[in-house]
Amino acid sequence: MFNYNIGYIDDDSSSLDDYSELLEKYVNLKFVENCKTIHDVYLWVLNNKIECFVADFKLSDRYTFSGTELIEYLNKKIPDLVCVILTNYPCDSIAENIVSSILIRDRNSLNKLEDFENFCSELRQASQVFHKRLNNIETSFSVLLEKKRVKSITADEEETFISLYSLLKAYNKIDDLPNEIFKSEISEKIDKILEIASKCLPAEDNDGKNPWE
Amino acid sequence: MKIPFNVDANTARLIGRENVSKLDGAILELVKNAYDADADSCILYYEESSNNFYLIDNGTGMSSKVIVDNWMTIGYSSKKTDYKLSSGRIQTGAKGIGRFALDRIADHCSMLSKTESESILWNVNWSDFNSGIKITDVGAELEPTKITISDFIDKVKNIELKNLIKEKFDKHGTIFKLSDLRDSWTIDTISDIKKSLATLIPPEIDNIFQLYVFSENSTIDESKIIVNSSDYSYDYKIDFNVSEDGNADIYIKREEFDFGNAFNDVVKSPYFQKADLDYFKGVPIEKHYKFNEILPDIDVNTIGAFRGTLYFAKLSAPNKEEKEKYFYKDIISRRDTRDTFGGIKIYRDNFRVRPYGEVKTTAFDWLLLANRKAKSPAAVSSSGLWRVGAEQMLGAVYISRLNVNLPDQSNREGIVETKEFSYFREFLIFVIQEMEKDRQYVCRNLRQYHEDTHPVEIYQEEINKKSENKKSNSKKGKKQKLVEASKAKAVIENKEEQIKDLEDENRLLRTLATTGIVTNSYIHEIKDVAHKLNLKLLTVQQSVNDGKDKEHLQKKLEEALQLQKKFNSWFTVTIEMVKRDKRRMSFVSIKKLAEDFIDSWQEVLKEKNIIITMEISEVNFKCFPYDIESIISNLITNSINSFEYSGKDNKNIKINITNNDSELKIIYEDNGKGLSDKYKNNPYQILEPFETNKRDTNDNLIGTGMGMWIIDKTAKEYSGSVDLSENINLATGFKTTITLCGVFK
Repeated sequence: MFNYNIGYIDDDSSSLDDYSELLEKYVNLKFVENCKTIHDVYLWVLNNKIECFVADFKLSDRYTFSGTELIEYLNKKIPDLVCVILTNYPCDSIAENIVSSILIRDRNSLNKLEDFENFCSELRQASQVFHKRLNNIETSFSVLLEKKRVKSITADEEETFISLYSLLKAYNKIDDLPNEIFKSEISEKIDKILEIASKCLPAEDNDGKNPWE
Repeated sequence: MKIPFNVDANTARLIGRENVSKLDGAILELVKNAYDADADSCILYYEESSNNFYLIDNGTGMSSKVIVDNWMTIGYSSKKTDYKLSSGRIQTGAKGIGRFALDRIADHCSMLSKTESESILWNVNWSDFNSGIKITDVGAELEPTKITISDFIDKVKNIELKNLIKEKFDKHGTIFKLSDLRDSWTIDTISDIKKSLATLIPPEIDNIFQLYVFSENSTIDESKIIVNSSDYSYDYKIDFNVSEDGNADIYIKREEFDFGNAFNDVVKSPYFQKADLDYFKGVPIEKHYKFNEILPDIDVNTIGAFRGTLYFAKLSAPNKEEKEKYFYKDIISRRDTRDTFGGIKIYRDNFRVRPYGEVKTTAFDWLLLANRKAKSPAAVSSSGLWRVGAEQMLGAVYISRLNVNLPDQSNREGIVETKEFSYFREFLIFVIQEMEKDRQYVCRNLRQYHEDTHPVEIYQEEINKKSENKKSNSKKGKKQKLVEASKAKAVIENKEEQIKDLEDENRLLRTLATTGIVTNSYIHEIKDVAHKLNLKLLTVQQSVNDGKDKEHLQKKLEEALQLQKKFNSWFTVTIEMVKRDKRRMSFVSIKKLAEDFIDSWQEVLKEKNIIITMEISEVNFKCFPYDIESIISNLITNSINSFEYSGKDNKNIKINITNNDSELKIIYEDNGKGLSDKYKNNPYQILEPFETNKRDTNDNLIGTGMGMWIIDKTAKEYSGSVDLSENINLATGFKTTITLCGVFK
């Protein structure tokens, strides 16, 4: 049953055990630990293969950023990861207009065990969406990899290729690739141009003077 | 050769339609038919899933002869001649067009009518009337049958309805099934019909004619229309009864006044008479007149017998002064039901005669009470004539078919304006006037009583009057009349007492405001604790469901109890302050008071990792305890806000309370963010009301800006001050010294 890794961040750890217990039948709830910055949280998400992320809105007791700011960052880095705000302050988080209100849940709407069951179903469905999209990303990545191999990849595509690789690699969707494959096509070409250019240059005079001067 | 006239079928239908244009009017017509059929119950049932509407009554039913000769002869009404039923009930219709109401509601109609001896099925498709043929060529199917009313509704889905039919409707009666409804029906339609019928049926016939409006899932109790007037709140009730021989009895009941313990002091000579003792206790004032004493123009009562009940009900609650002066009952909880029950309505044989008293129409004030009021706008206790406002009167006047000189207009839009109708109106005005006279009698006497028992107010009036006259008198060279010193002293003392009361009230309001500020500031925290408590209980519930071990359950329950304690601590912080014993000025041990109060904050502060250190002198200071608590609460609330997003690990508050001979000094400081730049140079600005810089994450101002203002006001009450000067030089943190002057023991 623990197929789905759900990440959870809250500055108040007193209810973590309860959330874990109430959700344990359905998902594997992992709590963000040892992170100071937003980027730390992003790396934590990758390392823990998080498939759906839940954040408290006010994180002020422990972090310097809010839940909505964190989700904005994560969405930029991993657009397909569904991130949900779970808060006692739904109005405040909605008013910010950083996270869609559809993805903002009032904690007080979780009043019964059935509410938790329903919430879990939503989290699991969001995880399935993420998986499906990862598969689609894998296909796109294969196309780019082929282009890379035949050296027909553009600069933009190359950038996408590298970011997709990091993501797929984090979620064990692909194996390690040899380092040479990440050597940029552009740098390779520049290296070649420089090499040819240096060959075209006449050797320096013995007195060290440059003949072009 | 004589050729008979004929009529186009559609024209006949249009005549019917003209008379019944609205859905609720159509339904009322059918309900009236049910009543006229001597039914004691009538059911309206709308079935959402099939979009069918049923109307069922347990009246006498119609035989095939009645259906052919009467029911299907347009314009025929047996009620024109035989308007009294065997039961004595007077039938309400007379035009023979009520059946067209069926056409108004639906395109197709099936009817089963069951008398003691036969059952008849009747079907009509109203669209047949559209085909351009003559009325005599349009037919309805009519066949004898053996099915019962229960069989007829066998397929309906509401079981309770079926049971009710079996119990009360199976012997005789009529049932209509209307399909292809012309309006789009919803739950709101049902609710509107219910409301409309509730106002159309007067309470008096509730016992003899019960109406039900069922929907697919409603129960009998939910469907029953209850006409409830017993809990109606009013000031005066007038019952009147006019007999055929012209005797008019009027009963006026006073319900407006409540003298409480002062009853025997007020209701006595010279203000009131002996009989008033009973009248104020609910015994109605009885008045008996001959008709020509009321209406001198007529010797004989040509209107016939009628009766009615009218209510006078004030709409706005009187102010404190008026309440004291006139001993008015408290009417704050009085519901404004003008939209339903407003206006004086006429009922003929227990059915409404529209449009009299119809709310929001010109016919609402058909007795022209507003005109009377405009002509004589005097106050009730004045020497002028007080007139009731049109919107303050409501009630019902009951006439019957026997009042032949008050005939219905043929379009059913009211009563023909005969001279009897004018007399009828005049009589009602007279009845209202009787109430007006009584109320004015009471209020004038109460005013006199008030003046006699509140001489200070009279003195004050005298002072005001003399002061106003001073200018004109000096111009005219008249000698200025002086006010006696003893009278002036009495007025001053009275004012001083009032000021003290207001000061006390003000102080209590400040404390309540503090409670509000604290609650408002921590509402999210309170919600958070409530949610955590809920989580714990859910884990317990899940553990029980999953059969987890006892230790686990115990652990969770203990944690829940801890949270409950925390929950209570919020209430201690917010509510305890306004307890009665804290609102009494007394010598208070400041050390104990402050320590106990801060102790109640500890649970909350612990949660937020805030540490309070205190240094408090052992001293007894004369004060209102809640003033000290209010100061501390407001300061701590400000500090907690200041610590938010400060990024500090060590959050400290220091409270030092010292004293000298006549001053108590509260030195308060925290290491939070300190005052914002806006207030840094002029920290005293924060003592102004509504000054705040507390913002939410969206940068919206969310503070009340009242906390420091309350502290300043409190300090001033003790002839003290609030010193904020040190904040100008503080990079972070906040510091203030509050000085309260007073007496120590």
